[in-house]
Amino acid sequence: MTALIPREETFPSRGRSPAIAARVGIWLGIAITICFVTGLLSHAAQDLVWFPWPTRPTWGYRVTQGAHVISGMAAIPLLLVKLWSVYPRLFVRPPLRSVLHALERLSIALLVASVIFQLVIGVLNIAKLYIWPFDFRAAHFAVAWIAFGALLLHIAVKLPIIRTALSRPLEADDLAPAAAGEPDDVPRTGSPASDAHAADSAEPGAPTTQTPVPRRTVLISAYVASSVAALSVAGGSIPWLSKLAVLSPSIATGPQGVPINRTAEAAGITEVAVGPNFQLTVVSEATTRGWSLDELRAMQQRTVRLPITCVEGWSTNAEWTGVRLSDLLAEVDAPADSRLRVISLQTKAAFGESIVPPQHSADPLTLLALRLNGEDLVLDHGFPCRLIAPSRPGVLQTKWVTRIEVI
Amino acid sequence: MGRVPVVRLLLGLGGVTLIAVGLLNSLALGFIDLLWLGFWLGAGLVVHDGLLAPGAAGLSKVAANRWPARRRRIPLVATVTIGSLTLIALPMIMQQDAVPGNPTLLGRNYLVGWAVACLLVLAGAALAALLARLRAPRDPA
Repeated sequence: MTALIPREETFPSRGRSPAIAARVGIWLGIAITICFVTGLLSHAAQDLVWFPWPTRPTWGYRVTQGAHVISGMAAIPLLLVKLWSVYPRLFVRPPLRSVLHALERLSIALLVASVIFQLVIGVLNIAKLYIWPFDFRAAHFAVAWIAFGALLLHIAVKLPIIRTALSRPLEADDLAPAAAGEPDDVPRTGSPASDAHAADSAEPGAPTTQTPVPRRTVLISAYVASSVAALSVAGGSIPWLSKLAVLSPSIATGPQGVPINRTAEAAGITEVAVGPNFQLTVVSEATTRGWSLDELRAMQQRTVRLPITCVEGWSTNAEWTGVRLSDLLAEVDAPADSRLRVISLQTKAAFGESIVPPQHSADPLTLLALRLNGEDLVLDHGFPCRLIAPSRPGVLQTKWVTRIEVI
Repeated sequence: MGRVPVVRLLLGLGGVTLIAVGLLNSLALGFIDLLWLGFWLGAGLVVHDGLLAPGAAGLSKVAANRWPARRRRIPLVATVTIGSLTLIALPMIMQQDAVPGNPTLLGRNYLVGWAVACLLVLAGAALAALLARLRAPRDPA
């Protein structure tokens, strides 16, 4: 049975070495760090009511969420090459030498499992392929901490090896384990012993083909694949790259020049609810007041140019026209910087209401929009009126608004 | 046991703390969903370590036995790039037009997009191979 399990020496490749692992690991670490930080920012913007998420720059969330998705995609090839470079270590003998060694292997398993998990469910979320029973956002958030924590722990453990590997030329032979900084902690592939093994294992008559591919080629593979993966989605956030975004979840345009994430039908919006009897109600401590659509149109209209950004990695700029939110608050004697609950007519799906923090309520660019790119909103974009605020996640730009409460 | 530098100690402690935060956060999922989360975490490891990695190792062994290193360089870059792109594209291809009544979401032709991207990678590889051949020193024989 044990003969079926490969040994470390079964994988004779000079590429599988700390020289590659350390170099690819740096870029992978950067990509994971960007994912973690931008993910936390998105969480703060969506769920932490006390967090002072800024309204400027207006494209702030567009950049952070775009960076989240692009760096996640870029991380996939980097992770694959990094894991390839250390794969033989999975079969190190003996598998467990001490309690400390067991803990280290456990932390690596946690790191690999959590990073794979994050990238896989991230891609599946973009594809709206929910094949798990748990809540995506809760799981993605929890495992993000585990993945980043395990990454820091891994760097702490491997720092001497990383330093040694980076201080030596890329193509240099690997050091004997003891010379690398820690006893028996360096993959032995690429060492003279494993090269000898490689020669032994070569098929008769084909020894010349067993020459190793330079490590530089392996590095180039990782970097090219990572760049292409990033480019395949980057156009979802970066307009001038949109033609290259072959894997972006949305098309570059839609009705009125803006894609739709949730249609009126999917949100359970009925024609009756948005018909002639539609009324917007604004409730403050002092008073409650209602407006028909015509009355809203009769108020002073403002036009702003703001991006709308989906958490799944697309965003687009648009021209919005409507009533400034702070003007509506003044009509009910509420301070401009009130915290608000904005409630939609939607009867199905999540995000039927959102909280608007004071800095967004008071911002002159925050509108209850009635028009988009010069036309009345179509139903799928939130007719009769929707919220649009600077630097705010798309899921919080509540559509089909029927009620605003000062809280 | 030697002295552990402060940086490593801080990184390690920070890492353990963040892992603990993640584990605490995961408790919000509830018991059954936690079991599913564990299953998914394990499944990723198994699929990579038991399927993807051995597959890649087998492929590179076959290639190493057939071609010398200088002829494997550019195909290696192309294979890693196309392989990664394919893994990312698969869910999108499966889900094309999966949102009824909303062609703006998942409405691209992902199969064609993936194929064009792969062809571009192959064209780049062919160009690189051509340039490498032109630059290579001529065999005096």
